[in-house]
Amino acid sequence: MRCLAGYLSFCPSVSLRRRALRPQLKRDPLGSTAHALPTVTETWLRLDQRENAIDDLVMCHRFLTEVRSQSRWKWAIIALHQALYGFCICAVQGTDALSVLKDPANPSSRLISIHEALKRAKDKKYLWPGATPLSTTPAEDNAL
Amino acid sequence: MPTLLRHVLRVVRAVALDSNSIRYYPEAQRQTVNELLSQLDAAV
Repeated sequence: MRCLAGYLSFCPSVSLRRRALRPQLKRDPLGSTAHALPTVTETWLRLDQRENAIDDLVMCHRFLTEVRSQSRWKWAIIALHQALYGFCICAVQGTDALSVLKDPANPSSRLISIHEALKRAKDKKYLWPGATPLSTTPAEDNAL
Repeated sequence: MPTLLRHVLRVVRAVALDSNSIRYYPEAQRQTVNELLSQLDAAV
């Protein structure tokens, strides 16, 4: 999984993954006049942060209501953690998706951590105009 | 576990709904987020 400026892309199998942005070039048999054309055979799923966070809420609900074993708590908290991360990114990225990268000057750098995203969600300067900064109680901080 | 989830859920709600970014969500997504958070409150 790789995060690119607020977008998440998934390839079904690492072993089947090819270099998507580099055409596969083959040399034609000698004397052939046919041209080699790049082929795209992969299927990619692309989600933005908001869709992804909503999907995490859906999965959290499914784990809580459909899984009977005790491990449902583990999966529910993982899904909720991801939802929180996604909504924090949505809240603090404003109109500049690169602002939530560790190095905004480098589009291939990683997303900021959830701790940094939560910290920014509490700081008005990172939020939309008129937004209420996040405020957490000690019990919530402990739970996080 | 339910207590821990309730705390985290409260923070998710605050970030998702009070951060104002939801103002820019399409109406259908806004409604979905509201409904999902209510369902999660009931499920925990």
